[in-house]
Amino acid sequence: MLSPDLVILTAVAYVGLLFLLAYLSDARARRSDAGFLRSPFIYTLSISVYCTSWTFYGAVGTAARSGLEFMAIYMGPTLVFVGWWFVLRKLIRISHAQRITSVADLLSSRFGKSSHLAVLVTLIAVITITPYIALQLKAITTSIQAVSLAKSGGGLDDVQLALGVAIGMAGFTILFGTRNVDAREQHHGVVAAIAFEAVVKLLALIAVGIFVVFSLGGGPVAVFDRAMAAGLDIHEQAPFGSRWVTVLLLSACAVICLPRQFQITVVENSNEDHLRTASWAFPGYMLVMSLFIAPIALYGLATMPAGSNPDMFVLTLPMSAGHDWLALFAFIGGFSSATSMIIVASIALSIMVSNHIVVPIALRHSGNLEAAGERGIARLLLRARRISIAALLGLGFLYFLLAGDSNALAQIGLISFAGVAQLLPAMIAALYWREATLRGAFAGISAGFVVWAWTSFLPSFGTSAETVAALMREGPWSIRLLRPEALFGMEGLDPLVHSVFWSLFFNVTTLVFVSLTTSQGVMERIQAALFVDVFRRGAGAQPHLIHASVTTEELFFVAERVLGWTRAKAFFEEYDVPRSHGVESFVASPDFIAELERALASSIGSASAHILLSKVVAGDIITLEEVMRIAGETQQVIEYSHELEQTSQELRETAQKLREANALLHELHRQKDDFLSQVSHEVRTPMTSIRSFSEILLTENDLNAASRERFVSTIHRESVRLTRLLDEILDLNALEHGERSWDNVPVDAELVLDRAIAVCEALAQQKGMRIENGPRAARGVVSTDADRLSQVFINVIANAIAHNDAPSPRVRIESRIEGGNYVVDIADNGSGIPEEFRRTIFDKFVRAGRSAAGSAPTSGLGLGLNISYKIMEKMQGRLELVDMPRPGACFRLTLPLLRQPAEA
Amino acid sequence: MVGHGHGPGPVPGNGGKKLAEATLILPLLGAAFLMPAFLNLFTHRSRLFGLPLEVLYLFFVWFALVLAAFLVSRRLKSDAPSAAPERHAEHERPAGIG
Repeated sequence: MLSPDLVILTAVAYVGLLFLLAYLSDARARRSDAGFLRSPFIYTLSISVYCTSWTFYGAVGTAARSGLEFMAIYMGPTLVFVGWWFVLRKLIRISHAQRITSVADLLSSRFGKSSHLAVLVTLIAVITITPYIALQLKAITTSIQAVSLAKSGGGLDDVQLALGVAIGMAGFTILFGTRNVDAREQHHGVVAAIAFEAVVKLLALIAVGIFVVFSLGGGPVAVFDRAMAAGLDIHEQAPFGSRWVTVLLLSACAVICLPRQFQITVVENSNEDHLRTASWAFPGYMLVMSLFIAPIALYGLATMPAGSNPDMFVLTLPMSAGHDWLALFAFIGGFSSATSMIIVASIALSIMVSNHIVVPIALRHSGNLEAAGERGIARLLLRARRISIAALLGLGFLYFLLAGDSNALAQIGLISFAGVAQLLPAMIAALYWREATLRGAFAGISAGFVVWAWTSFLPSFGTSAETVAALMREGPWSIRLLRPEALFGMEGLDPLVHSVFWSLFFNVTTLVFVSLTTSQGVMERIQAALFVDVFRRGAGAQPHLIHASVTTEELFFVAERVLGWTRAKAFFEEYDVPRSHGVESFVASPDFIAELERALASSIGSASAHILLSKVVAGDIITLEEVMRIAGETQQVIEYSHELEQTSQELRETAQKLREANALLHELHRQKDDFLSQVSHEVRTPMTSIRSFSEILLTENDLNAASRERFVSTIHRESVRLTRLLDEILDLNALEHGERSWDNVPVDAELVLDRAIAVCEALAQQKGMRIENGPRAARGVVSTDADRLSQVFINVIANAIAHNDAPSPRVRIESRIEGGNYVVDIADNGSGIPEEFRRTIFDKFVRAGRSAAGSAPTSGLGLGLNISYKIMEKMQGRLELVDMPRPGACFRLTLPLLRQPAEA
Repeated sequence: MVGHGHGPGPVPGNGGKKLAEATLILPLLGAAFLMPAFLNLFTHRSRLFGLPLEVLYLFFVWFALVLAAFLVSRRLKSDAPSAAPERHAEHERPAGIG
């Protein structure tokens, strides 16, 4: 048997170890060496603060009394964690974005940064959690008694023990839980201690379990057999029913809403991805933890003397087998689970109390911020937190003192769960229902809380207070319909099921009804959008909440009060905002003010931060309305941005078209330049010779007649060439701009071709060559202008004559009717068009190389074919260069025949 | 019974999307299997391997949920914003309070 002194000494030594651990971790973290402290497994272990002494000792007791119900308490959280992707991830994302510091801050921030709602939630949390803290104190004292009972005969004073534990825990929490005011700065020391305690309690329970099941009981099957032999029912007494579902629901709510769970899971989370590990590791942790619960309970029931407390089987079973050290280890495990709950719960509650009750009151009632001095608000916060930790533990102790001996405490675990579950409807609405209003949330939570207090909390005193017992029997003023455990006559239900049903029923219906009948304020609408649409891309674009009618100096003054000079300076420098004197005219940007508000919120909560900034920033209301008018609801913003996207798509297309048009214009411009320079070049050559010959004629008086004659004829020839060139250019210009109109009349193209051949005959004879007539069509009536067509024929034939370099040059002309077209082929036997010119031969100023060599000055300007080509186009015909088996070039002219063959 | 419900496995292509949906089916399916309607199928006072059937069933569902959550969480692509580095920077700011 263990002496009480040894047990207490062990507990004190253990707490000392926790102090050391927390101290070392804090020191490590401050050296920015917190690598392993931020690992997902430390995070997961710290979440197991969920398993308090109530689950450590009480699970065995529950298993002994009511079968498998204890499993529901772990399986609710399991369901929440395996579904992390939907609720917890969103909660953490929002809380990181909005710098949420507590569950009260979350609700207050979502519902328009309302400080009233924050106060309500804080009060509810304090009222529901304080008895829970008392329960931990009771567990510790009971376990110390149990471990040391046999020897001392129960000589220890419960009250003194509890007081000692409360003071010790307050000391630890104040020391490591209030090192800084920024709740977003994680309490590394505390988290490390909690994670360590999580390992200790798991190992302790497993050690006891293995010892009981395998060493004492001889294996799990043997344990069940022995229990059956002892006349116990190893199966569920009653079928699973509404109580099972209720416990499942409550535990699922609790793991989200309990202030300590919120603190650890959301606020202390340093990386959203850690949730990934916790999603399976935390359920796994609880699974391992509950493996041995039922066998321990059954073995205890079967072997321990009747009347022994099943809650303490974890301790008494090893002791009765003489394994005191194992019992001591189990005691440390239970002690761990109790202390970790007390520490985290009191930190979470103290943050809520100081941020949502103390600071707003201080801000409202002291108009004089100057008096606060540097970090005045921060100091106020720290002091408030330390005092509230002490006060909370004091309250817990007081509750323990008043109700410690009654059965009130034993039930408080689930009652407390049912209390915080009243926050869940509002939280779900906060995350997923855009239309939920502040009034709805406030009314819903209030209604649920009142019903909970009436149907659940009050009856927990029923056994210790006679007035309460009477109230429960008769109802208030003898109105039997309002009896706490049979509200509106609903009798025969399990009290917990009854209470949860009515409280959540009133909670949800009030929330929905009031939300639908009231409207949101501007700030609410903004915050609702930020919360509900946190995963939507671009939702990060915060509307500018506070208009910048404030100088940076005033802002710095405020920041300094909260953050301290060093951090305020760093913050301002990070955003490149000057803050010294003489830059009063520098107006802070709305973005910067929004950032500053969030930085302050991480210390003092969103509602307080908003109040604080609103105090120095004047006239933000109008701007707020303006913002809303412009942005409307997020829906509108999204539609707008969608429209914007479309518009910008159109703009892009238009720009693309413009670019193409521009490129075309550039190309045309370049062509025009080319054309001009070609023309100048072409004009310059004859002009030069005209000038030089006329100069000779003017200056040289003694020229003989022959020379004079030659010079004059050269001048004449060049002028003719020049004139022709200018004519052609004019012609081309007219063709291109469609200025020269002609009358298309039915014409027999054969006659035109004959005339053209006759004209070219002289030219051919000049060069000593023949024009051969191939097979000819009888007649081909087309709609055309005879002169123009003749021009084309002459041009092509003349080209064939002029450029023919064969020894016995010939030009062969054929015509035929083919597929409704009149076709003329004009071929020569020259060297043909070189390959590189075949493509461009119809362009302006293109001359196939052989004539460009400049044989005869009259040999073409490079415009003829271009003009012909354009004329043919105008007559719906074609001029093309065709391949032929013989050497030489062959031009083919095609014209559509006139539809009705004219009689003529 | 539990096994086939949550074994989507790796899905090529838009596996991330499908897996994200699977995380919704996990808690829903888990809740369904923990409803009394299901549980009471196993409470006819029989023993399997010497252990009460309902205990085995509960642990089986629980273990299956943990396993499925483990598989899903390993394959689910993170869409976390650049929160981690940002918060890291935040920590390195002078924290001269204490």
